[in-house]
Amino acid sequence: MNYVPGLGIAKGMALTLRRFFAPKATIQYPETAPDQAVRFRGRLQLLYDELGNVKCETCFQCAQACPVECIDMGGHDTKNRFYTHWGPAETYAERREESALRRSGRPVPDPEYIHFDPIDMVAAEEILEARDYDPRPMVGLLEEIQRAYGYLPVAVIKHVSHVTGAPYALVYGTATYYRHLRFEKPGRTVAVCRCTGCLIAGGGRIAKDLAAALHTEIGQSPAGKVALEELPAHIPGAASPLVTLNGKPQPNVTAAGAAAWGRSLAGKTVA
Amino acid sequence: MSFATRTWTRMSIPERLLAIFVPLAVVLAIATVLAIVLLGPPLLDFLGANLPLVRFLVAVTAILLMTVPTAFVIIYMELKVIARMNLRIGPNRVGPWGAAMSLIHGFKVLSKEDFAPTGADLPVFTLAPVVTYMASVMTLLVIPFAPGLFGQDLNIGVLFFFAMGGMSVLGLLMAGWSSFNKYSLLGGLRSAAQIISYEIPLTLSAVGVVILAGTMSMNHIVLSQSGSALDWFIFKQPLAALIFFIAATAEANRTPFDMTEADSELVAGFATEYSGMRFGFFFFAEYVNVFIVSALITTLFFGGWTAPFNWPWPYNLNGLDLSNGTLWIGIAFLVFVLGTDVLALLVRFFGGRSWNMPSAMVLGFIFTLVAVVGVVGLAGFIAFDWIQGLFWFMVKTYAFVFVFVWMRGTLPRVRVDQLMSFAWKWLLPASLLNLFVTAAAVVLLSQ
Amino acid sequence: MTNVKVLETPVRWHRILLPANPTAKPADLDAALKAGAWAAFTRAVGDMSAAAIVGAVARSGLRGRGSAGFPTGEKWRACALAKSDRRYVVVNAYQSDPAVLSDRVLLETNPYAVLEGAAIAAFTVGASEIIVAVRAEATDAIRVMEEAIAASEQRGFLGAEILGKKLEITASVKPLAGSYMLGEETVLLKGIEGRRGQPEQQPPHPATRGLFGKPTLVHHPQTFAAIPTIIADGPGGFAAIGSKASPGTVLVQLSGSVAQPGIAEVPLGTPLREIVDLAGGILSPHTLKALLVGGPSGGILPAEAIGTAYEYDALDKAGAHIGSGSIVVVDERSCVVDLAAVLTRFCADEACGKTIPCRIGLRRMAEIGARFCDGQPRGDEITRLTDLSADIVASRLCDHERRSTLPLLSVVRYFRDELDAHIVRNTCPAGVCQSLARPRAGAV
Repeated sequence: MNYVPGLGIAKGMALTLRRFFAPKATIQYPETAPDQAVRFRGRLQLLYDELGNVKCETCFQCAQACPVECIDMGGHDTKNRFYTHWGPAETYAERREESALRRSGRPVPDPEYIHFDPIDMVAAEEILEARDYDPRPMVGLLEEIQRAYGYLPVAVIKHVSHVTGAPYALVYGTATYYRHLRFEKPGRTVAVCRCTGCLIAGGGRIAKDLAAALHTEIGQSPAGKVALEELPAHIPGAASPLVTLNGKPQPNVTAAGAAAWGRSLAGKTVA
Repeated sequence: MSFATRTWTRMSIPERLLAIFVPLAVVLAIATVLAIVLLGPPLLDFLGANLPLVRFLVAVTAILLMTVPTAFVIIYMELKVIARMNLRIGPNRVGPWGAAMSLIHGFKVLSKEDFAPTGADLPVFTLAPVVTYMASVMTLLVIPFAPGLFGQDLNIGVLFFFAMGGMSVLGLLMAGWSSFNKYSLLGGLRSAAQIISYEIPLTLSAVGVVILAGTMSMNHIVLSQSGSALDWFIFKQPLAALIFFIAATAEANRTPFDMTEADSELVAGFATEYSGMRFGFFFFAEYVNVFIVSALITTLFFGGWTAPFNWPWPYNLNGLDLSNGTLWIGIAFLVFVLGTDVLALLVRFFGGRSWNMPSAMVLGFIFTLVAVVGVVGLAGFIAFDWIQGLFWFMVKTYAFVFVFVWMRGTLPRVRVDQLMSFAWKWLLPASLLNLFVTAAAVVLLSQ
Repeated sequence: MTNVKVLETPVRWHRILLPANPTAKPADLDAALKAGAWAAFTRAVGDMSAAAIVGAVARSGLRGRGSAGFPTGEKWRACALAKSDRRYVVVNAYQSDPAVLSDRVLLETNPYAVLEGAAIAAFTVGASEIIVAVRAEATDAIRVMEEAIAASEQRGFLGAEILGKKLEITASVKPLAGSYMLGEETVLLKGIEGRRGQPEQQPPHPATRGLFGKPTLVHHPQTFAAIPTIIADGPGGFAAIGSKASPGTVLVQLSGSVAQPGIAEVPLGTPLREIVDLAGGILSPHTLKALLVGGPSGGILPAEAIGTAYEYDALDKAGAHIGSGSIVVVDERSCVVDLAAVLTRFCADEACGKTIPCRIGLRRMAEIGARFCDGQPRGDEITRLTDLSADIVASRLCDHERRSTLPLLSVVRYFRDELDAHIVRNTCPAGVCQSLARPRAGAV
């Protein structure tokens, strides 16, 4: 035996006796306030407003800023512009069986996840190669990808994040900001101009009526249906109020007839 | 409606209470005075004739009354000391420094629902905590707190002590059996096994002390250690002391041997089905047990109420003349009044404008009280040897209570099989060895 | 070319920005040189020191045309003082207002004025690169600028060895798209860098820390286009144009209920009445009800305010701003409350979402505006609106938040009885708000 019986006990008890006389770690709140950093936010919590909507924009800025990369997000943003598909659902305690299926490589029945069909990555690789895999000018890269594929497939975004080393939060955070970048395949698009002239001519009401008739909101891209967008700039020379279908101005759509026109558009089968 | 009913309905609640209690108080006061005047002298004569009986009754009452505050103090100590060892502060809000915490625990335990599980054997179920508690309390009868301050000086004191300790096993088994719960039964059997396994080393190590002292009377054991600290049996029986300490920890169900009451083991073992004051009895019994084993260690090995060294006090106030009661009351009154006023003025002088006169007076009174108690205590300490003895006894006992609490805050608990094997394979042979060596030494040295 | 009419202006008004005689080939360098292009640059590079140029610009009183109205000379001084090895000059020709085309027209008709001004600025602050940020939809403007840059480089006015000296200034055009907020200074720089376009706290200003962390001078193209005139003709002449506190001219786009909508170059300080008259006045038989001055986040001024001088301080006091240079004439057919509500909704939707007062505050204001239109306010919404606006303005990060409160605030200030008609008497006098609309004939 090369140990002294009882020595362990003695050492343990000596430690606790020392601790008995040591200064205590308790902060006597509320007599003393704890020492907090100036920007301390307390416990991070997702809040809801009084209408029951989550006050989260899914802008990925928190995920991008987190040095430990422990934040992930999924779901719709508050403007219902897109559904973010990437990221382990477990971090947000989301029960998504799709994530397990996805990891196993099996096909996922949810149409939202069809994008995990194999995508031809050659075009993306060429673009990345030409840009020397530099993720810093991210907008230009994403615009080129959109030109090549018509939209930003999730598989390509994943690939970009993998090979450039940019956190996907950075990629997503940049892509979700610019309205000309899409995450879904473009279908038929109705765009409403909201410049001051068109608003005076009733553009606001047209936007509301079309949103109701097409069962969507400005910026949302429901799969298989007509998408409603906002025109970034008034086409010079076009009359107010300005409504375009797939980029072509529709002069016959007025404030009064917008709802009917929208309903007829929605009624047509998907081309 | 009669006049009485009408008046009653018109009265408010405080008025109603006064209407009931004031006449009642008057009646009781008159009855008390009459009783004292009429029945007092005959009663005093009767008591004077049966002094030992009176002494016994007083001792028993005192011990019963002492156990609950002791338990409270030890619970409070446990909370605070373990907290301090965990770098926390422990309860500090409930009373001054959290002192009322134990009291609140007591009230909480009292206020819980008192039920018994269906199928439980109700008489046994109710009596089990009583048996356990009483077993602990009765051992206090033989412990000498100070010279002349003990319940009863049985000349088989040590044996009585261990007999009562064994009786607590009975209480545990009753609890486990009557709960009508398999797991309680298992827990009770485990506890019983633990206690009776450790009783043997406990008793055998105490026998060594008995051999040295030559008597089983606790008082005489303490007297045979009087002199100085070097006369204490710890130096003559170190191994026995160690074995006794370990075995006592197991007897008291303390860490590291507390697997019967650990929350992760069979819930609360035998006490699973108990709640409310029934559980409160088990709870108090455990803490009284801690006090008892500490007291016993002090008595057997550390000299009980003897001081570590002899006080060379030239003054003997045993002959203090307390007969002139009026003089002493006058002195006390004067001291209190003067003290309160002077200290109140000092408080206002040093404390500043924030102290108004009433609060300062109250504080002055408290300080005066503390000072008077201190002086009286000191005088008593010097004058009366039973106060000295009590003081030393309490210091040593609570030192050991602290050691028990310290161990609880430090050590992990052992498994039940490790526990049993330790008792039978290590402690029992060790205590036997100690016994043989002691006996041999005594025989050899007496030649 | 961009299809918009350039309105006739009185002869006595100076023409600094738009060319006096627009040509078919604005990128033709020879014609431009004959008209006086690059003369000021040559003089600046040859004879003047950086300090002298800054002094001239400061004395001219030129204020940034990007609607903040910050004195240009001070900005140049700050940028020149910032220590760095590399500086940039950015021409902010991204016009966020979806309807206004004046910047495109300027770039298409007078590209060399903008380029020359930017080159003078680059020489003064020591920048080596000029980036012209334009809207991606403005394809004509991009093409013209690129041609102009190529021609200037070929002739030695830009590029490696400018005018034979050891001076290097390169220029490029960067098309941007995707967000209304890109018009804001710091957001534009982020967009050029290729990052998410959220504004930054200022200070540090872009003049000290901007594009890629280097000192950057960001100006509106109209600001740059005024520089050659200042250097060539001297600051005194420029300071005499327009009003004393805001000298110079600005491009205004008139639209709405006017006979002849279009663009005009207007001296600052001109009363609004004269500007509206340029477009032929109100379209008859309608009557003037209000003027939306400043674009989607502008103030709605009443018809009585038509005498207000069109310049920075007067408009600020009136509760509007120059903004994109847009003046929309509103007639009695429009409901002012509805207009303010949809404008606020537009501003709330365009917000980048970085700060809470903007992201949530503007949305709440839009909701209040919608409730005004429905005639169902919740309690004293007007006080709530003004308090909310005060909070948003006080805690804002960029000017978008401040400006977006202007439409509703100006309605509360000037059109109180129309607002009361909605929320108290539950009618819409203009017959526009659908839940409250009443027949026009015999309207209350």
